[in-house]
Amino acid sequence: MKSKKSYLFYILSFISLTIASCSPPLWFLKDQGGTTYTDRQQLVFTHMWQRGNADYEMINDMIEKFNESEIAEELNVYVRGNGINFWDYWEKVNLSISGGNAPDIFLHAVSSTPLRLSHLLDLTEMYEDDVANGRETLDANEMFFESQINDIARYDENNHMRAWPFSATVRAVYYNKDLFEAAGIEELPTTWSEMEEISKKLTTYKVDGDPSSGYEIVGWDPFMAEGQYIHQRGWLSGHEFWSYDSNGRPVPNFTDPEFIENIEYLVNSYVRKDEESEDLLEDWSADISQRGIDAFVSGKLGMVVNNEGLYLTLREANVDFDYGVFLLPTVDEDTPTVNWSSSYSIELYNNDLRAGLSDEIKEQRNRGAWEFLKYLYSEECQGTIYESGFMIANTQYYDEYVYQDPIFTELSKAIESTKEAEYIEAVPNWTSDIQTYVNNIYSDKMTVQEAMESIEALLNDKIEQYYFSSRN
Amino acid sequence: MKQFDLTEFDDAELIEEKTPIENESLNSDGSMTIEKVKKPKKKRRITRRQREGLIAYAFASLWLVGLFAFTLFPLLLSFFFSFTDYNLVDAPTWAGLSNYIYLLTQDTMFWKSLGNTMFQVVFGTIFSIVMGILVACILNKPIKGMGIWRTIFYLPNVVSSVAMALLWTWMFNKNYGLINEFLGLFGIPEIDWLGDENLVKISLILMGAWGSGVSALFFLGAMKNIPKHLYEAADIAGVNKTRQFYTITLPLITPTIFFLLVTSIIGNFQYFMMAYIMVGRGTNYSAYYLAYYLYDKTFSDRQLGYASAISRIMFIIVIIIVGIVVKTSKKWVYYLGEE
Amino acid sequence: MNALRLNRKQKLIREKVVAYILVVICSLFFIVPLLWMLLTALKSSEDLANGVFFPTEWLWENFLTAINAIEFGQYTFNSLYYAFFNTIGMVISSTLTAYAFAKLSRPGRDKWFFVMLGTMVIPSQVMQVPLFIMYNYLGWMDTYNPLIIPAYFAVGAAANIFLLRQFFMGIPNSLRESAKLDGANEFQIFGTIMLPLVKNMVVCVAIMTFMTCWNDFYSPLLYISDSNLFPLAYAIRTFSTQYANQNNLIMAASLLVVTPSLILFFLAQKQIIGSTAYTGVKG
Repeated sequence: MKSKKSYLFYILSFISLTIASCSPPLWFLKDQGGTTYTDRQQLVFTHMWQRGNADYEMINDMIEKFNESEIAEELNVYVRGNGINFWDYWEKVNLSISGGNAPDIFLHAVSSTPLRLSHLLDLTEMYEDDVANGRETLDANEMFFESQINDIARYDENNHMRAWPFSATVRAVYYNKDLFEAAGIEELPTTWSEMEEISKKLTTYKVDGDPSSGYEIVGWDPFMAEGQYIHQRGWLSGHEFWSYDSNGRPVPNFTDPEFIENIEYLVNSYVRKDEESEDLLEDWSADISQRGIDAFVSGKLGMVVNNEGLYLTLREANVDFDYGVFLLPTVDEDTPTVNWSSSYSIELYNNDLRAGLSDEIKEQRNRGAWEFLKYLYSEECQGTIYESGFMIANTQYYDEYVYQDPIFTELSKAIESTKEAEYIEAVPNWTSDIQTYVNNIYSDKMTVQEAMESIEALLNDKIEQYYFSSRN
Repeated sequence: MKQFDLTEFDDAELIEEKTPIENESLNSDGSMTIEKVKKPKKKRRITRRQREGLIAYAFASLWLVGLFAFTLFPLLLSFFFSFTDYNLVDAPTWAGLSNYIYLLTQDTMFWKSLGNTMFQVVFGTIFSIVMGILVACILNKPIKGMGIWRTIFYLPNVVSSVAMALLWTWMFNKNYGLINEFLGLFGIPEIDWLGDENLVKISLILMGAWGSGVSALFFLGAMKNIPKHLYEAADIAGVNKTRQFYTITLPLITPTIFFLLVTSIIGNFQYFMMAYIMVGRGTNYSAYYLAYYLYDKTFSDRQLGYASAISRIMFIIVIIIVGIVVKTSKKWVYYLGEE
Repeated sequence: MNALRLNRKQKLIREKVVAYILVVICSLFFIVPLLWMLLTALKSSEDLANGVFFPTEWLWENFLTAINAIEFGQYTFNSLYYAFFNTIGMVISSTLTAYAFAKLSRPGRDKWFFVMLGTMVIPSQVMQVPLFIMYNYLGWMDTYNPLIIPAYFAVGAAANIFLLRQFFMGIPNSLRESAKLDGANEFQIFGTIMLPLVKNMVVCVAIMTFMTCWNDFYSPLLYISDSNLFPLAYAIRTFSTQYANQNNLIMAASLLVVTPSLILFFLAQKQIIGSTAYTGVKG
């Protein structure tokens, strides 16, 4: 009497459950970069050019060229690009790696490469393998600065490279040449006292009759622009943040009196000692930032610290003043110059760790990823990457690209002295852990002494907890 | 009872069961007649009751699977993991009670985040309930177009929590936010709602008032259920409105208060998403809630064993507090019909 | 006597006026932020910096900019997919379970009900770590499975089951019995008789679940890293960090996400608001 109709509910439920577990969203996904290769192994390349980004097409074209190449066909692989925006990038990639769903080729931060060492393909070995088999290959020692190689390789027991630097982010002081000339500055500073001198020359306020003219020629604590990068300040004053005790346990050193004195000097730099000018600056920069215009680009700020990203902004904004860069000054002449890098690395996941694949396929995938990596460092790709404003990493092409540009040339000099923040296993994210206290210094909520003491206490707590629980 | 509850029997059985009366007399006799009557009963391996029981389990099977697979099993796992060190890469290593010992004796960040969470639990809950009652009182007047007002009051809860967080970040903005601009009209200087470490937790609770529409509606529903004659009697007796509120309204909405109290406490313990989007950890970790600490330990530091220990402590605390609320509820919750 | 009656009338009027004023003030508090959201979305960057209340020009293009900046189409589809299947799963599992609790007698039924109430007490963080490990192991990371499959098993459905149970208990037993006499088994009864009767409540549960999923931000944060799979609520957050100081665009994007919820809400408000009455009375 009640026919099959009464079981409709249950049938529908079952159907919907089946559909739901098959993950439809990917069926409707627009193809990224053209055709897909259904019979090949898919390698995922995770990068920061997300959909909607101006360079997204460029990256896809690059990837597509590789997919159509002979070597990709020979190894039976193709690469699919996956762009994640910068802000979520690190979390997402870490999540996918720990979730067993790691991408095959991905950008990441050099400073956290040690965290993933056990997952990553040994690139030096791949290179040696190439050499042994007489294949065309790229030698890391010829492509990168020694400082970069050290930053990455020092955590590997055999000093092998497990990542390559993808870009070489360095910070320098951008200065407005026109304003410098107007202020009568002839020599560029190399020490902090020289910096104070030229700041004084730059700072004038209250030109007669014009209340806003105080903003016109302004010297500003150039280190203010990147208030959160404590490494820079410490290293430029010759300070080291970490040491190791006799047991090999890391000991944070943030309360060294000389270090604190130096930081205080920077925080209370010439301009900030003057209340009126500080107020003017605060109002003005709040105004500027609300409009999304960088203070330096507006042409009224004498100098600012930034990385190569500012150069791209300046070019795109077509500013009408003349500008240049010089390297960050150190505390005195005896302290060697050093540059906090925070560069991007590019890493390959070791497919040997992927479950459920045959050995042959694993090797194919590894080789395929390695070939893609080499392709990314070929002249063509480096040229494309350069066009999108990155400071490329392969020094073999610096003559054609970097050294043709005066600003990039200056920036490249800084690469030789770059340094990454030290990786500490007990506190893998110590730079973000201390951020809230560092911010306090620059927003005047804490003195330098208080902030540094809090930082040291926090880091000691975390290290204590780490060693307490297991690592006897 | 058996005569009326027809669900106990189906048709076939009805015919069979007509013989029970005879059965009894036969029983006293013993011998084959009994077996003859008893046989049909024996054929039924499963009684009606049992069959219905199985069907009930069949219906609830989905929920049971969910319960065991997604609730109880994880609870057990978390219990197990809290005694280990596990970073997802290497196999878990046994750590005994060390996680707990460290957590309770030496981990200052744990106590700090717990303090922040308790602040949220205590003051956030009280505030939301008080606001709910107040708003419900306002809505409880004889006003036309109550439907429209109710819609308006419920509206904020429809808004995505991300959108709400972004909206209120903008509203709390020190220089350009609506709140500071409004206060500026009265000459009050700019307040750093989200940046000041002493204010940020309070700002977040105040923001919660915007979402109090739901609890207000719950209270309104409860208030509407109070029989009018109680108020009328009080009016005649000359009791003023405020006393009426305290003696009539308040006691009779205690069931709703109880329900919301429990749900708010549980919800506030898990509070951190808003803070995550709006202020991060807060200046000096002032907006660092326990749930956020847990999140950091799991996804940033990758110390899953330690995180499990934290979550279990959280669980115990929640159970204790809810248990206290439930136990004492008998004293202060009045259900209509008692007095 | 006259004087007394007049007084009372005056009193009533005064009460009414006061009540109106209070209600209006209260509703302003709830509405003004949303209005502010809309106004901000229409402002240009200069307006933002100057702090004017009304935008000088009504820039409807801000909405277009917001749409183009992120992959709105894909993300909307993702959100719809997530909300749709989660809702279906939730409806299926909670109606079946609620019926079991309401109608069918079985040993220990009340004990299980108690257990169900107990699951409401567990904070989700407690299960977060083991679930993360479990989903890793099952290979469900970076898919929508962790978000949808649990709904099919009534995880987190305690409140819905509670509500539906009230409804089912309100249906007279006689319906069941007469159906049984016709020879139907329990499953058929449920499918053809019971379900249509609780249609209103089911619609209400479905709408509330749909809205919750549409707005959900936490689960995608934990389980999804592939940028093609982000649901809309999560994409908005990404958008807001990327365009950090351009609050007008952020508000525009937020409004785009909020609007479908609002529309759905207006269409179904009676049922949603009506449901609050049920949980309010029983403690």
